[in-house]
Amino acid sequence: MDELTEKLAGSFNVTLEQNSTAAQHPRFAQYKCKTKVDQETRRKRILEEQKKQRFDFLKHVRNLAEDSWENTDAESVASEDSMDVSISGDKVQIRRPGKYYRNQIMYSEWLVEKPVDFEQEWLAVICAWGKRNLVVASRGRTHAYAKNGSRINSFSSHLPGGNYGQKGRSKSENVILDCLFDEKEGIYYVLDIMCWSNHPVYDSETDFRFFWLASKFQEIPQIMEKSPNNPYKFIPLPNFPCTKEAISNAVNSATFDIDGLLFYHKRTHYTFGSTPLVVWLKPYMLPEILEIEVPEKLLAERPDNYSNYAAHLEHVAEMKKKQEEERKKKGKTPPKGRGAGGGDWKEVKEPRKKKGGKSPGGPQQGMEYCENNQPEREPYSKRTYGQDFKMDVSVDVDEDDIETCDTMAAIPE
Amino acid sequence: MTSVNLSEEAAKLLDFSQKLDITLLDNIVTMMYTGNGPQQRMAQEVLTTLKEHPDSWTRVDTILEYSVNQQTKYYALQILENVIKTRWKVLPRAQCEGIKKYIVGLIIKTSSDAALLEKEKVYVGKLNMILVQILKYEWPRNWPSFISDIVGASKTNESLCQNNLAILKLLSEEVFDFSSGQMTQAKAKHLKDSMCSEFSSIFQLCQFVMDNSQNAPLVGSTLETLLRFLNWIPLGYIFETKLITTLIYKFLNVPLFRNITLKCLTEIAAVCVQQYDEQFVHLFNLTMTQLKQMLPLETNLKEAYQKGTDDEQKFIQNLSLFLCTYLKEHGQLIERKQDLHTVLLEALHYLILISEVEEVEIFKIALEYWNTLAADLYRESPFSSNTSPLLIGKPHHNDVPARRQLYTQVLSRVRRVMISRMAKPEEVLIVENEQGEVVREFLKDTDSINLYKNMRETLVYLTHLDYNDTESIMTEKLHHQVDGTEWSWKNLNTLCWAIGSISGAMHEDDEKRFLVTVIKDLLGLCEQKRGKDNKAIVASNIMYVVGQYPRFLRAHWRFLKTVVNKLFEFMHETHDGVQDMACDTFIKIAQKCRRHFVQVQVGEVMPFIEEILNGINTIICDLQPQQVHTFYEAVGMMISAQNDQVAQEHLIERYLLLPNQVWDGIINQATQNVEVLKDPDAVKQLGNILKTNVRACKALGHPYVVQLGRIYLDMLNVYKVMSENISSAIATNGETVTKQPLIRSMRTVKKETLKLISGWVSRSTDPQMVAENFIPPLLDAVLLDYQRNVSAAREPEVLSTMATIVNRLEGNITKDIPQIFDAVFECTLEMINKDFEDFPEHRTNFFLLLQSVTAHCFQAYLNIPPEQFKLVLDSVIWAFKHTMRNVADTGLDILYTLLQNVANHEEAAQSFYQTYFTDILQHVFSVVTDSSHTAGLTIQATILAYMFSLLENGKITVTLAPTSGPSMQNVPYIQQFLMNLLKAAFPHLNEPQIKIFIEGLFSFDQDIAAFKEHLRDFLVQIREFAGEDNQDLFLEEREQAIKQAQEEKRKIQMSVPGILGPHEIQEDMQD
Repeated sequence: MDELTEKLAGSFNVTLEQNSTAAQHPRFAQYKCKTKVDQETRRKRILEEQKKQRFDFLKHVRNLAEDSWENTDAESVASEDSMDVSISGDKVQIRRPGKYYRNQIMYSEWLVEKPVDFEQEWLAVICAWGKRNLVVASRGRTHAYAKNGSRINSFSSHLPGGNYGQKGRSKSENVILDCLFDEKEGIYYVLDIMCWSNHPVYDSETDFRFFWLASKFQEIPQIMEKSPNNPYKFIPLPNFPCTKEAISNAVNSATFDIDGLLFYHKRTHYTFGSTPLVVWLKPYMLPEILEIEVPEKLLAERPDNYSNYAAHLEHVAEMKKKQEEERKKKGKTPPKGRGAGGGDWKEVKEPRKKKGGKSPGGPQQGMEYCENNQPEREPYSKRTYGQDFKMDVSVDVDEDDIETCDTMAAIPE
Repeated sequence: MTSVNLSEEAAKLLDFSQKLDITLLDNIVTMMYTGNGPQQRMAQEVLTTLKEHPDSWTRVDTILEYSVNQQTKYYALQILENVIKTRWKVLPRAQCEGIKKYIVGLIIKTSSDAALLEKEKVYVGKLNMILVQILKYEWPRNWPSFISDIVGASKTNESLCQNNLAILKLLSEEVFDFSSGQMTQAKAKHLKDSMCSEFSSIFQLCQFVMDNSQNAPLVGSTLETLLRFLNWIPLGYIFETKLITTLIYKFLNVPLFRNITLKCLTEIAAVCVQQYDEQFVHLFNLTMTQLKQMLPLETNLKEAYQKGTDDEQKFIQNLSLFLCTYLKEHGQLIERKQDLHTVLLEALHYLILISEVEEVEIFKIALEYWNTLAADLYRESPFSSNTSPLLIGKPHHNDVPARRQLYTQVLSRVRRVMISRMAKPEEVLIVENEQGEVVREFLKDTDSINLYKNMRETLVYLTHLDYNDTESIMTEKLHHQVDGTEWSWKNLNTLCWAIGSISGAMHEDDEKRFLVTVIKDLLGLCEQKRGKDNKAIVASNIMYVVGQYPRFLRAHWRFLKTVVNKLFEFMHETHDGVQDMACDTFIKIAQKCRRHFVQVQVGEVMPFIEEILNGINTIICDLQPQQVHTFYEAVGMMISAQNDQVAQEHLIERYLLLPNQVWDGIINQATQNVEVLKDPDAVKQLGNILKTNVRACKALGHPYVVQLGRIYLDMLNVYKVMSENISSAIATNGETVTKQPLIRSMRTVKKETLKLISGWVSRSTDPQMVAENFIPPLLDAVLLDYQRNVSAAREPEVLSTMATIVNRLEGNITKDIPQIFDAVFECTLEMINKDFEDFPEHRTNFFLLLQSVTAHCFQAYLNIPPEQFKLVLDSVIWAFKHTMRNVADTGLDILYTLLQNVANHEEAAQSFYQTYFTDILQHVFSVVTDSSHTAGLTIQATILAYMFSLLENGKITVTLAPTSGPSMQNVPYIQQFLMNLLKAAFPHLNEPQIKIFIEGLFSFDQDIAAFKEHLRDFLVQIREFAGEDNQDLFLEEREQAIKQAQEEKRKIQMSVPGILGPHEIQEDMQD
């Protein structure tokens, strides 16, 4: 039963997303997702890959602003399927945006452990409670879209291109923002900026986008006030350096109810879907993971199993032991249920002990028991698309980096 | 021909003093069929007028003789059929004879020549029908020799014989199959008796043809005719002649005749009597022997059907009917004979092959048999054949009943069939409702739901009979999904529906073991498959299976919790349909396992519901509004399982925190500036919040009162404001404004408010508290608003809400009925009394309100002014005159309840009878005799029977006869009254007919079924003109039956001491 429960909790997915924030935090979850490569490694690969990436964002912005998709040639827009195989074990594929308004937002993963370059290379944003919306202002109207692409609101705003009353140049301009919508107060908290006045910034780094966001909003302060032509306030969320003091101050001085904290890597572009270069924590996780104290009020939101952390660690150790025993009992049964296995992965089917922790100090269980790597060699993994657009590249994995935990993947007989 | 000309010419046609211009008629008929526009309309008009002319039938012979146009001839036959059906009795006898002779002559002439018969098939068919219509009046009394005539004539000529058999077939159908409602009961009986008594000569004719004829069409026609006879002829003809052997040996293997022969054999197999066992066995044996030659046992019927011709497909269908009918009725006969077991198994083998045919109608036939068989075997000995773990080592087939052993192999194959083609449990449809919102509806496709139910039932029985086998088949098929040999979305769905369908059929331990394997395999499959589409299908199947096994979930908390957490995860998944699947599964699980979410589970510190409420914002943040509503309903169900009131109230408060915050925000703004309630966004939000509340209320039931109390008065105020906004918008811009999105969402707010209130009231458990605290503000806000509004802005739900309230609060709301009536009665009536169609919803709901008041607050009727009561009664009468069936039924139902309630108030009753009794009688008769109201015949009969028994039992003590006329007893007065009424309405009926009808109304008033048949007979009669000759009406027989009924009624009454008053009991009984 336990095994079945664990399998259900762990590997059962429709979209393959690691450390998905829709699930429990991997460190506190009762059952582990098997991950293939740790966050840090994946970050490195994506940042490298990002340099090679070429994509016609101007055209993409036009699609979003005009809601016209007919002339997007099939190759340039991600089909459902290719969205699926994104960052898996042996290759990095940066997702392309979805067709229509679905999957246009950059989502985070859980922050599993503190990155080594955390204080230098990361920026923190404190988030209010709200629904994640894509906001597009164009042709005199402002529209908001939910995660699954459905349009949930349509109104006017002072964003360039956002209402019919605008004169001159603004009329033909457009803006695309990544927002949190607070239904209660009628506020759009702006997290990120993808386009301003027809100028896309998708392929700019976080540093720049945040700077751009702040400076553009300063130019039009009336966006931040409620008025007949701007029924919802737009408020850009401030960002902070990732030092203990700065985060602690920010948390203590927030003027709204905090849902959680997003951490953006300074070098990441604005990408689609979840990425390890943006990570997420609930406020009550700060002490445990970043050693930052938070007010008691925020700790009260801890879920039940969080307070059981010690017991949980014990449970995990036990599970691991049991699996070891089972593995010994079974001998060298190759894992079943894996379709396209190349010759090379058979050699890594034996578990390998992980060498050393990655971040000193913090608890490391997260990685130790849930890392697993089975490089997948899919015959169709190397696809080429249009000349100006080539994002799908396989990266070979150094075997030493691989941590296997094959009983998790194998179907017990 | 111009239209002016046309109308002039037409006048000539109608002038019966002139000779008929046949060319002109042909022209007009041609114009009717090929012309267009005004020309065609004109032609139609002329033809209709001519047809309706009482003397038009006199032209028929000329037309048939001289017309060159087939359509004109059909038209003439229509005229003739019409006159025979309605006015035969009033035609002079000589004319009747003339028509009869003419038609017979014509038929003989046309059918004697085989080539002509084939060419004029349709025309002869119509002539045959006319003859049968004539026969219904003439035979046997005026034409006693008909049967011998027709049989005799048949022997002269093969093609004539062929047509004569067709006539006999028609006659058999008219008399035995379609007589109900077309002939009076007495007449139908008389004709059946005549036909049976003369059947031997018909049978001889058939046999003669079958034995001797080489003429294929003739033989075919004979078999068709025989088929119609088989369900009524005396059994001796079937079993004591060589009919069965002839059918099987001579015709079954002839491709041309195999279908009709098989139908005949099926008809014979359906006969259910004891004394012919041997013949039945014989029939089976012979048929199977022939079948094996025609259709080798190894034939792949699925393929054969797919590729087969129409005829071959029909053969397979007929074969399934034959086998199922035979085995169901006589299977046990074969089972008892050891030596026939091989044949039996071969027959079952055919049936399994047939079950694999893809045509669903054929499958249903076989399914019905498998269902009966499996149920039968299970009930006979309700234990599984499996060895129980306690009995290992004991040879188990000793325990298996012998009968079941015989079927073991077959049943295993049937299991495989059921599992391989399990039907879809239910369909979900996405539809747009009136308010322009997209909603999901569970499709009420009764046909496919029934298929699922029957298959499920069958598979459950089969599983009980041997669950190891069911399990191993399912496991095997699942492996084929995993290894890819059977992988497809459809196959996986089918398999998972099958797995889900047997929930509860296995022992709990077996079920657990089975499910663990199934889920494990499916999880493996999900991991193995590439592509979101594939993964989503597997995922939804996993969740479907899991949701079907609540017993398993309840027994394994950690698993259950993990499932629910996984569902929460899926609520963020953007792939098509996954969020819906997650919400649907969540509510299904919440329903079945609700208690487990409010208890503290082993190893945890708080109940899971707390965790859900803590994270509710995050869980629902990516859901669509309607998915959010489902989510809220599910959580509400969990909360409803908390029995501790304080704890429950606390949970409800947290549960609705989020919608309440938004609600308060809008209400606060509105108190400062009411214009906020015209903001589209705010209105939409209010509608959504109310919908959330409706679902919460549905789940929580009465305890929802804490939340309702919180928002009640604000909600009523919002209602008023919305309503005023709509009203003024309509006043300014006309009714089209109701199509605008803003107005539509305002109406949503109103409708949801009413839905919330009626939903809660119907679930409330303290009627007095509801009546005291919640009703007064509601009446003030909603009713006054309803009354003041323009018609188009009145919500029909106001009426249904009131009806729900009355139904629930019953006597507690009687005092408010006058207020409710003041507000809604006249203004609604005003909307619906112009015609029978406008405002259908108001109409329906208005009468539903009357119905509930009549049933539960009758006292209120005694307290309102007489004029208002009259209005109520008039409305009821208005209701049952509707042709909208639901309204008419409601009306009749109200009337019946009203009459019964009136009878309980002695004083009021008498004045009620005096004022309304005859009126009501008259109105009910007006609908009874109206053919568009025949659907309500049962309840109409019930009401009339009740009214006549009131009269007869002396329950009406006031005099019903008007004081101005001569004084009369009530019963004779009503008889006289009805006599006059019916005579005036149906002048074509004669007095004895009506008199017997009225007598019957009294005699049958204790037996609704007989009363109804009596009414139905009368309905047949009013369609025909009665002549002087009454014999055809069998009035005497009818009178006899009526007397007998009267006597029996009396006997029953006498058997209960005191039922009959002392003055009614005869002298000799008094000792």
